[in-house]
Amino acid sequence: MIQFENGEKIVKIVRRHYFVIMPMVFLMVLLALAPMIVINLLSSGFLPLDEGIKNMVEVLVSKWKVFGYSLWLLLLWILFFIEWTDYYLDLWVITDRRIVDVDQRGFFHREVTSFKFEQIQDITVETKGLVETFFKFGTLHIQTAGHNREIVIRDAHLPEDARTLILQLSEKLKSISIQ
Amino acid sequence: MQTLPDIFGWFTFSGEALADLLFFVMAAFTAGVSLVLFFHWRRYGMGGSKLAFTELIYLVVAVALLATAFFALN
Repeated sequence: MIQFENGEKIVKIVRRHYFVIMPMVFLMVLLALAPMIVINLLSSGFLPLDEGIKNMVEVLVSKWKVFGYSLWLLLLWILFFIEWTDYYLDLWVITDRRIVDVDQRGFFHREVTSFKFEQIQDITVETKGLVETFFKFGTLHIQTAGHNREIVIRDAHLPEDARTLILQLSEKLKSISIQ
Repeated sequence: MQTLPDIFGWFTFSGEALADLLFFVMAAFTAGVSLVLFFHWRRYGMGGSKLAFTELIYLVVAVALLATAFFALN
């Protein structure tokens, strides 16, 4: 859980674009259809199978079709949500004082990095290729002074908006500290 | 009683017993993973109605699939 300072307000939460989980969604749909395709192939005579195997497949399908298919779908459903959780919990929280980068890698590996706006030296937005341009996502590169390294936000949705917002908040904070 | 081939050489399972075992394993797996998922969503998910709706959809579909498997078993 991210600990916020007293009076700190969340301005925006940036997540990776949903397009990055699309290959996984297609794979799940394909796997969900796979048993039907395999059973049709086996029973259609398309594959040269032994009569005994054909009979066994027919018995299995007639008796355990609903049971097996619902468990198969359940397994895919759970796997989808495990992947989705990994996607959903990978986020960047922009507050009025800092940026918190949460890197979720699997269930039990989580890295949380936070840096103040004063540490930001430069922000670059990188949009590569047709897909990223069309679906409006890209990579944000944030050069920080304190960390002495670059923080990369990959596949961020509307990276230009996030960049503008970070720069605006940074300028606002600077003007307040000068006063 | 219909039995599966004695592939391990130790014992034979009836199809029904194997299906029961499979159902039990999947139910336990679903319960375990769901607990971990809900823990993560509640602790790190930043809340919101969208996440609450996703939790509901996940749970309803998972329970429906388990129930379908259970009724197909009996």
